[in-house]
Amino acid sequence: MKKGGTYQYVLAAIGAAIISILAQVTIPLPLVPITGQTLAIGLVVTILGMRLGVLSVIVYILIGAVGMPVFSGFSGGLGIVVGPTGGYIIGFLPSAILMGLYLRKFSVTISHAIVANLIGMVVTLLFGTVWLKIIADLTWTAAFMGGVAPFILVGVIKAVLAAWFGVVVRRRLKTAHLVEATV
Amino acid sequence: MLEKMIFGRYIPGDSFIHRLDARAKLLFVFFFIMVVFIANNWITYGILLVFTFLIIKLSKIRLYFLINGLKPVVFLIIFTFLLHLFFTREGPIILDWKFIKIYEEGLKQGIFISIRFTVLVILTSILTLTTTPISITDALEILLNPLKKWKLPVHELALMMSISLRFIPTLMDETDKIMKAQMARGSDMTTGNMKERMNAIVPLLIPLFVSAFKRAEDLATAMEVRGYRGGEGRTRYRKLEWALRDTLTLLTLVVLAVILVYFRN
Repeated sequence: MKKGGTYQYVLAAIGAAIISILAQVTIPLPLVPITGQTLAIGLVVTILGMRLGVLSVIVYILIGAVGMPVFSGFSGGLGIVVGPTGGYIIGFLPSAILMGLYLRKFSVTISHAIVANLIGMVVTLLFGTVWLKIIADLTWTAAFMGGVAPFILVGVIKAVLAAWFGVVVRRRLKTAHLVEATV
Repeated sequence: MLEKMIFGRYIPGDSFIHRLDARAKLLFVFFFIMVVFIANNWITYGILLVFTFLIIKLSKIRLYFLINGLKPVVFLIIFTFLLHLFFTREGPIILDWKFIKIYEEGLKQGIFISIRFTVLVILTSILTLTTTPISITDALEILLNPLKKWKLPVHELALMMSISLRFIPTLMDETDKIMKAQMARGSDMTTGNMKERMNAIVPLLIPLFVSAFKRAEDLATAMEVRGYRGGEGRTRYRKLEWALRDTLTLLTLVVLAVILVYFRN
């Protein structure tokens, strides 16, 4: 089923809306509850693939920047994007691109999706930390302690979950002929 | 959940700042972010604070909304303050208690960075509090128009933003419905071991994505049969108007930058 440009754009827009909603969902787990933002990005990129996934992420960042409270914890506005944690949000973009490229090169299986999501996590953390270091004038050690260390364990769990959900949902959508076999 | 999201962060009003052109406000904030980095001592950070205070007064926004906007970052501001306090090791020691050593430079840097963040967050919040997301989207589209030369799909991005903004409430409603529907069928996300809980989430995600694909198809068809063919030659329903006050507002930023450069170390 080949569909035109308008359909692709609308789908990416709705993908961004889905990220916005899932970013607010918390999965109640014992010990660490899992919040949705990075999970939602990984999930949508895994399902929609390179082109549409990346477009969705761009639109998500932009609607957050213009003031819709779509970032985690109902925050939003340019203040969040330029604030101390803005690097993570900007980092979603390169992270989505790399995830998309990886999934396009290899097939969308659970193990490949996990690798892709882990790459995505590393890139997001990297951008977040570099930004935190620059905007807050921190030393690298301090930025690492504040920007990476607390998120590694939860990040890995999220990456695995996003990959698993993404592949399961994608498989079903493929049987319904809603997504194409290639990303 | 819906109430928190449906209106965005826009607070209607009729202040000087509300009446400014969205493009002017966007440019103002963009350049202000750079100007903030000029400040590097007590006087310049003081000037920034006064400037920000004047803008708050001009926008006539109740302090409550601004504090609300600061909430998500307050923790981070305190956190970076503490990081500076403990990790910057320059200047004379001002506190030496057991293993904690606090240096003068650390305290000073901590305060400066906190001011920088507060000022940035307040100014950018004022932009989104006084401008509707739709006018910011329009303004972005116009300002980014020159980038079309480099194949950036500016019109399409703005279109996608508008569609996305419009669909968030709809999809949120839908998510709610799907959750209730699955609960009525006996699905349970709050008990069981990790695997059971994760499995209970899949039946929520699949209908959500299926309905998203269906809606995208319907909307795209509706747009195309009404003759939508991209941004080429398209006219606008909402018009932005640039006035003298917009130019003057941008000029105050130049004045601020000059003053800051004069007083910085």
